[in-house]
Amino acid sequence: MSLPQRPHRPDDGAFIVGTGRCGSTLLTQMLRRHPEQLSVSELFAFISDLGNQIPRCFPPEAIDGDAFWAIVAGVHPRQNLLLRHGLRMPEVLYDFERGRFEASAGVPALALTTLPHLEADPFGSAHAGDVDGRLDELEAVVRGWGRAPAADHYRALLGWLTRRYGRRAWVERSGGTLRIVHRLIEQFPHARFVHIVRDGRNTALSMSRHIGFRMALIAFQLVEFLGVDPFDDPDRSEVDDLPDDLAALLPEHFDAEAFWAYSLPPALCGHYWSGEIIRGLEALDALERDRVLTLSYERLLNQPREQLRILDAFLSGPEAAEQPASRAWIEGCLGLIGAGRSAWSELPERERRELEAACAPGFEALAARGLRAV
Amino acid sequence: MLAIVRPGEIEPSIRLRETLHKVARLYALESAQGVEIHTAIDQRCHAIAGDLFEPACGVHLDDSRPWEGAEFWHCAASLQYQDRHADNIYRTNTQGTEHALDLARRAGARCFNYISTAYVAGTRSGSILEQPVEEGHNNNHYERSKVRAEQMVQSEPTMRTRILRPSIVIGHSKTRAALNFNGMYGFLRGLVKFRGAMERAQRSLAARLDVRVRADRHGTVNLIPVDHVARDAARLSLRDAPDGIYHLTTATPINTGSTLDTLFELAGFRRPKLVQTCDEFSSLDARFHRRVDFYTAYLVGPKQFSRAHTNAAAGTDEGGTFVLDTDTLTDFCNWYVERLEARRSVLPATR
Repeated sequence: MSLPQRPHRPDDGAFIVGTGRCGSTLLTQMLRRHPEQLSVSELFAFISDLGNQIPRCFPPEAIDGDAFWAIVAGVHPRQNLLLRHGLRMPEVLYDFERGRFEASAGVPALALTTLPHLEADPFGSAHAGDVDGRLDELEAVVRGWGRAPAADHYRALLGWLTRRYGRRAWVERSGGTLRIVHRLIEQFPHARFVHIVRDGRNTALSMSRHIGFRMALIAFQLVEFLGVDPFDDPDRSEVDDLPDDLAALLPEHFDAEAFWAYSLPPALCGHYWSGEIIRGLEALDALERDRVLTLSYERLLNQPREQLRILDAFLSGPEAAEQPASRAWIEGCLGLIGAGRSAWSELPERERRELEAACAPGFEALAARGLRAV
Repeated sequence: MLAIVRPGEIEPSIRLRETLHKVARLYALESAQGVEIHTAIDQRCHAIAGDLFEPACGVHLDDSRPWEGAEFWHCAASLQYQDRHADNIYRTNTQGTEHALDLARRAGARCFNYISTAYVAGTRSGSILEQPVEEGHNNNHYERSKVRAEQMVQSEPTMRTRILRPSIVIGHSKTRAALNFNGMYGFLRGLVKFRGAMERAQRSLAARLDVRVRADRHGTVNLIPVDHVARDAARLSLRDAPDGIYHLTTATPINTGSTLDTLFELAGFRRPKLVQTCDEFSSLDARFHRRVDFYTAYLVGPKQFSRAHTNAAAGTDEGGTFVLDTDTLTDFCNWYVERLEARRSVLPATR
């Protein structure tokens, strides 16, 4: 079977990108209630195994449906190692009590968040839908697809989901996709991008405490000090270069206590935030202005109606955003808004100063484009 | 020459000779006592299987005292240092020395040469004499294990014993090539890897970071090329040096500040800020220190290693005259960094 024909407007979709821990999850929850937009959550975060296998998600050669299925529904090692050790990110929505997958054996990437997010009742009923059934249904479809560039498979997948859930267009959002925005721009040359920005200091503080970001940053360090990816390669010839705190986090003797004991200073996350902002903005600079919308998380919290109207006009078009359904959607989202939780200003003075210095380059890059993150 | 080589899939003599041929090429050696070097290796160098973890190194001697009158050289050691390796460090360095002594004794060796380290001096500073040291002034398990091994060697009643203490051994003085990458190379590798880790967080971050290092800017680092160490050790043996402790060090060590500047720049960092205490450390400085903690012990407590015994017994102070300037140091480091970076160029991308 060949890939389904591209829809009339093949790249009608949009991506919400950000550094992660920047409020994008709130947006995706809001969009789940949208009457027209399909809110796709954490697709790229989990298929890339928390950002550690990005090139594998975008193979340069054409692949068939089986190979694409192995990417999107693979049981990837990092996220499942966390689950096996009881380290469950709040983003993981798979229902282990009702579902057939167990943490001990691993859960396919699509089933961790993307499908449960689509299946769950957006208004919070207990019914979590049939994630396993939807996964099986999708597998039968995807495996039948012929050879095509990976981007075409993604379009086909997102298009299939959009139709299956009765929406008009899709909006994908994964934590930390500013890291891959250059790839998304390249692979989806007509897509639009919502860049959500949060105060880097609070973002960094939140990253330093978040299971997924801790794992991603730990995995980066393991690769550098071990000289191989320990999740893919059994070579341990450079294991003596690992300090004790990192050695304790190798997959072969990982444990939750060592994971939380590992020091991940907010300043390091601040440097990471600055780096992501700088590189992400450089990539977004290449786009036409009408293809990018920058939202401030803080403004979303303080002026939700205005900001959601701007968002909906960007995604659905100015006319659609004036329709009653859109207004109802905005009013329905207001209950989801709480106060931002991280408070960098409560850090001890020395840590605070270090964090501010680490975030300064990111703030400068935003300011140079007339953007604010506070 | 008979070497004890750990058993493996490849026959010990083959492994030994492969290593020696490799070293000969790396060090551009041409001959040994008038015989072409590769021929000499094949003709004169033999191996038997043995393991330091076993009593008498697991070597079963058919005859009584088969190596009567021979010199026994014990150079094997674990250069690990992390706490998680503590058992292995003592098992290799301390218990292993006991096993080597046992084997040398049973085999009838005349003299036991033990390669220790000048850094058994640990936290002591100033003039370091070629004298026994006691435990209690050590920075890590490695140093402590070597102190204990020295004590064992010194109390050996049946053989002459020489304790040879090289400082930080680097590559060959002519070719700059090295075979093992501990000491200075380990520190340099730690820097390169730390840079990589920082740059996975943010591109070019390393070049913008001001890293603080606890070190004496005006202190010295005693780096000694491997061929100088070997020449000193061979002289002591050939001149039948008496029981004793001998420093195989340079008399003119390089300045700590310029060494660190050179290493940091080669690794892609700015020159470090040298501080006296850890109090001024940022969280990233502290992180860096955890990665290279073992090596920073070399950077504080300036030491001048006496070579009085070595010079007297070797009949020359030539071994101690090696002078390392920053250009030469850069050559040594570049030889290694080029190979290291080539290996690291295939690390998986995360973007």
